[in-house]
Amino acid sequence: MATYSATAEELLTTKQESQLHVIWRRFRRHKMAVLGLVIILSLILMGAFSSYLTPYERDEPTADINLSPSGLHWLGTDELGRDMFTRIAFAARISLTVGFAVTFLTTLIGMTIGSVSGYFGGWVDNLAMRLVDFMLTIPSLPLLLVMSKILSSGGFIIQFPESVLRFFGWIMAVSDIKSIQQVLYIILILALLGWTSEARLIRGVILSLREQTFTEASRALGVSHTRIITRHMIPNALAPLIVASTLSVGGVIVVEAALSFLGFGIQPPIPTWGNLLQNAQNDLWLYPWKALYPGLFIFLTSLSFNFLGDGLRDALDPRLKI
Amino acid sequence: MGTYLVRRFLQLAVVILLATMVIYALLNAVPGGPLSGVRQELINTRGATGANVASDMARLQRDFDLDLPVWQSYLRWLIGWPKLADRPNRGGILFGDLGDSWQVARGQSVASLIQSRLGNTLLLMTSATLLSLLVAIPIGINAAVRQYSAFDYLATTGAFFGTAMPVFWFGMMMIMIFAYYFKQLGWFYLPTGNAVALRPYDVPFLGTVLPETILDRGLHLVLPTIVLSLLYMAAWSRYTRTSMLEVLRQDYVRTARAKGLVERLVISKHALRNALIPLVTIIALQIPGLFGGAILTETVFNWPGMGRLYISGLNAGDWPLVMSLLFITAVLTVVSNLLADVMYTFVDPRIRLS
Repeated sequence: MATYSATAEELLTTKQESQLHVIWRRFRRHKMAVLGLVIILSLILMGAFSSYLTPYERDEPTADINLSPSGLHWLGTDELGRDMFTRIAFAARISLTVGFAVTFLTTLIGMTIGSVSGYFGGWVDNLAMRLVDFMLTIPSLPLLLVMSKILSSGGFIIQFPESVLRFFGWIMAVSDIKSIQQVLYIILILALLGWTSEARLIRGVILSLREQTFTEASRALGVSHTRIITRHMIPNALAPLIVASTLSVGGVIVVEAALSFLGFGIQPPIPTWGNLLQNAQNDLWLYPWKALYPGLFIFLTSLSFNFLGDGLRDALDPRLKI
Repeated sequence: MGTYLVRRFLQLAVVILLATMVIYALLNAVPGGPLSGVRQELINTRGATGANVASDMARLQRDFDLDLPVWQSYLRWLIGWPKLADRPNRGGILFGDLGDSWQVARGQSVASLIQSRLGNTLLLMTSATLLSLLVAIPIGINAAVRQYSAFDYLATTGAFFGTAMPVFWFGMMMIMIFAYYFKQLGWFYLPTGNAVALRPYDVPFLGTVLPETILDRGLHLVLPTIVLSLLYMAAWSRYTRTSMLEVLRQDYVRTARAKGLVERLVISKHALRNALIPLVTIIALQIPGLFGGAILTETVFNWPGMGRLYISGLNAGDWPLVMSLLFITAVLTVVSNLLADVMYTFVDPRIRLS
């Protein structure tokens, strides 16, 4: 008897599902997003194991210059005889590091400014939003180029802590201090100009949450402003924030590639997808295949992050879908 | 409306003033000054104590007012005041004196340099804008009218790919296919590089094309226009779709259908007109681009326009040129923002500015 009633109970009540499980189930339905996630994970693995994938040295010139793709050199060699696949795999480390680091910083800055501005309102809000408006009126690519030019001209020297330099050097497999600094400059510039959309997003969410009863209740209980923002508001803003950040990583990678392509980003011999393309452009009429692969990786990465963001939007918050 | 415009104009003046400060500070407040690269170059070629390094540097500093206090040199650049007896008068950038280029084309005025490039950029940007509008609007409308149809999915996916595409790589792929491989195969190909050819060339079907003819210019224009349009098309077709979907939900569309109007007329007479209103903003915001050009596309296609002028100015350290271009783009951006808002009230009387 007892066993029967237990089964009936089991059949009648739906099984408890954890929040993550629900999200994962919804996310899985979005086939392209899953594919995007798989591609991103493989790119990360490709970057992480870049030194074991091929028998070639990244920066060592050889006599086999400008070979077309073959079994020996999967994606051919460049004008100094270096294996293209090795360089592209290493470049994944740089591009992904820049993409994630910039997004981390813009999210942090945007979250701080957006939540303070939305929560307190008044002149703080006014000032912050005028700053955002102002930054949006300045054309971004020309400004990025100028700032990159100024920083790389050697006029400014920012002292980064030793540990930061060592950490980024380790992630990107770059030992030369000057090159690491160059990458950090690019990260700083992109972060400095990129936080506006995140700030607006968070501000919007906070503005709507500020008037809700649970905020009023917390305030009546004497909870501090910082705690209300970090414990009650930011968690509520997490879904749109994760989506925006994911989309931002793809965008940052394309912008970094554009800067390097124009010669204002990270300089050779450190390979990035952008500066590999710049070299390829000079040889476009002699060895056109050299332009194909670095750009294909940029496109694939940016597309994957876009699909991933789209899938996350559906999975995290179905209301967000337009 | 009147008070609104006055307030907006005041805001506009403040923003432009701030922008000039940022531009000036960016380019002049660098430790070592904007000429630090030049000093290094002089030392490299002549040696640290070489002939006239110090005096040449002093002369250059003087030419750019860099030996004056910052506020004086900024004001002289901005409005040409204070006038100094021992230096040439400046007109001030606010009054249209952009100064002289000193590296890209030494001695030539920035204004004449801009004049020589502006035509090419206007040609490229206008054709790309027109092409994108002509393609994007029908796509967006169709996708909205047949929401969730195969066409809608195709358009959505296409827009997805378009926004993710790095434009410089797309350009190189187009050159590789339509200029390089098509030529190798002896097919009809498109010439690239520069806006015109230097010498006559043969194209299948068209025969010999003479340089600087309309045909030559047209052929050179095709690929950059297509590449540049891809980006706009992706964004604008989505924009049109969203706007059309919004309008199709409105009561007056339901009313039109309820009184028995044929669907074709509901779409073309009632919905379309209102759906296109937001596009006014897009067109107005395109103005700074018409002047500033497309840096990446122009670089890939070696198109002698404003974007490339900016890049060569930056590369050469031609600060008067770079500052002028940044200034003009900033002013145009602010003005076109205002223009977009004002135009909006004319096409949509429901919106009142206050």
